[in-house]
Amino acid sequence: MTKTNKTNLPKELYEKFKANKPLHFLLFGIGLAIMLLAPYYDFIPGGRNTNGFVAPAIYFTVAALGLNLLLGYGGLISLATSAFIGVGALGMGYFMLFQEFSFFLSLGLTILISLGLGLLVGLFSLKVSGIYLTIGTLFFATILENIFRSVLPMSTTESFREITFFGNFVIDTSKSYTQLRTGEPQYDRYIALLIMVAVLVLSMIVIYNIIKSRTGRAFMAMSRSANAAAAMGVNIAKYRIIAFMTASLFATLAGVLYAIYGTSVEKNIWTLELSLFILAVVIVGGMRSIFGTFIGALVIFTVPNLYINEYLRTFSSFLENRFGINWQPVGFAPVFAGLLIIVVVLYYPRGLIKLFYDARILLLKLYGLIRNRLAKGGATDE
Amino acid sequence: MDSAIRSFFHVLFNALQQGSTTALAALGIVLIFRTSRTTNFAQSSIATLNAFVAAWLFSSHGFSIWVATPLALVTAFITGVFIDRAFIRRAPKNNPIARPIITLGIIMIIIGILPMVFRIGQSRPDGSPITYRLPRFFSGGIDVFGASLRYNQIFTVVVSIALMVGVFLFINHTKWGLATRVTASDETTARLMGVPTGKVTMFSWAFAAMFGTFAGIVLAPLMNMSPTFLVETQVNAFFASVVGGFTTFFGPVIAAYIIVFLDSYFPVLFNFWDGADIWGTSIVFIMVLIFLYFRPYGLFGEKPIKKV
Repeated sequence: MTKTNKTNLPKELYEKFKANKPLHFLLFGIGLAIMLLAPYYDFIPGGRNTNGFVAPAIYFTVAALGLNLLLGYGGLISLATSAFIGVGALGMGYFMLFQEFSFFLSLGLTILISLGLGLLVGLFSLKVSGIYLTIGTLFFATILENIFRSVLPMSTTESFREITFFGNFVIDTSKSYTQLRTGEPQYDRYIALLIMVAVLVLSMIVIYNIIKSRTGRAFMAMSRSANAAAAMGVNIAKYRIIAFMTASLFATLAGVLYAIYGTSVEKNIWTLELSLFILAVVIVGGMRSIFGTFIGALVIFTVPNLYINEYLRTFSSFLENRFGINWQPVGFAPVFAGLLIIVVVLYYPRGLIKLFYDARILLLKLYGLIRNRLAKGGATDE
Repeated sequence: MDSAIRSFFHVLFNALQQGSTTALAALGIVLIFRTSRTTNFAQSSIATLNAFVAAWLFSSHGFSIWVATPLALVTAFITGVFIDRAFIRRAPKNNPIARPIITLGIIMIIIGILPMVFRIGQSRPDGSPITYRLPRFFSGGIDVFGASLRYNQIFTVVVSIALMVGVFLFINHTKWGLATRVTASDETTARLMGVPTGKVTMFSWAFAAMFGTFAGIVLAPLMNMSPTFLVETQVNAFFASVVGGFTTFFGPVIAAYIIVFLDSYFPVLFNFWDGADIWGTSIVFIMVLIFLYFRPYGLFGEKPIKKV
């Protein structure tokens, strides 16, 4: 009896680890944080600073997680994501640069505004449903965009230099990145990245807990049929409002992270196009999957800018030198994202996260085949 | 008083033109929604793509606008058929958000293709920037109470209204119109009764793309042609479709005129207030959102009855 217990201990631990999803998110965050050190220690070929390409994936994942809650679990398409990210970034910019409030006061005010707007969308969603609701969110986005453009005092020149969190803890994100080999490395931007990773892990855990709770089950029930869910005693009004407020809160947090890392406060980029990119993240990565959302963000925001654009530039200069054709590789990222959306919706509806699952099944099948073949071979040999 | 009358007429003529184009775009959206059960978010993107085809034919190849427009309408027809055949028809039937999401993907592809193919915003080898423009169909105009009424505006309004009336007559009085109506009301039953629903949806996509493209071509001379120059029209058209209700063909058309008139006359009526220009559009939008809150299915729409 005791013997079997001893041999099963690693397996038990493994089962426990497998069941403890928040621990996975934590380990993922630590791993990501360590990987983000790579450019400082010259692990990237060509000595490039790849963190600038990974950062958008991190902060847009936070927004995409909120949208995933709406779309994957609630079946509601929201086209207002970018407007809510704009609320986060521009709210921080307005309060910190124009009102000179402290970081945490600005953060609190921005979140309050975003929750209020989320509540409005949620209230609106009580009366309007289906495609009317999607178009309604488009109008919310248009109204917010109009307000950003014509009311806020920002221009492209203002930017965050130093962000004082508390006391002596100051991040100067304008300090440029330096590699350890070439000089004293500047870790200010790395600390900003660490904050972003921390927020990312935290939001992953929060989303996981929401999904696994009564609220998550209510979302699932509502997405299939609101009427059926209501008949089973789910309070549609409450959960719809919760869904929209959570989504807007996450989008706003993404905007705050953008302001911390991106350092400047743009007011013209919070358009439908960005909302569509975030939608692409959710669809391509995999609806209802938390890690899938991050993978989607890497594919949509990092891969085109980091690798493919480089190859296309090489190709374009080749065309120019060889055939004298002047073709510039612009507009590739949206075409890539759009094609991925369509291909995934048509042929791979569970998203890229299912690749891992499929690959495992394939490997197991191959393993079984080989083992069978070996066993048979052995038998004939004897 | 004289200036008030003049600005009244000036705004009226512009609003009529804008209302007509918005109504055409809205009709396209509703046509697709009714026959193919798809909310076509890519309506304005498809129109922009084909308006740029016309502008490319005009600016780079010296075609006359009277030749470039029909050619662009042909490409619009092909675009519509292609999108329906290649993407929409293959979408999984059990997922209600698959098709709207595909149209969102089409928007992204077109956003990328425009600078890639037409090289907007880039410069030629000699350094001059590549720009596109389209001329008006007619030049000149007449004077009405001090406000100028361009012949082109009359042309736009007349053609748009003729097109819309033509569509209504077609839908209500021809065999193909009957097919469209039955497809719109119940696709499965219609198919069982031998109605070629596939062809109906295909032609709906093609005609919607043509309506959008025509709206884009007449709006192009009034603004700077950029990849996003039709987005405002699209948003207004969606507004109109929602306010008018997706369940009728004429509701969105009427709502399009109402919204454009509200939007245009707001700064005129409230010209004593400095912020009217800045806040006008937002206030009209908020008013419509409040209206939708109380009438979620629009002016003429009915609540769809669904089995649980």
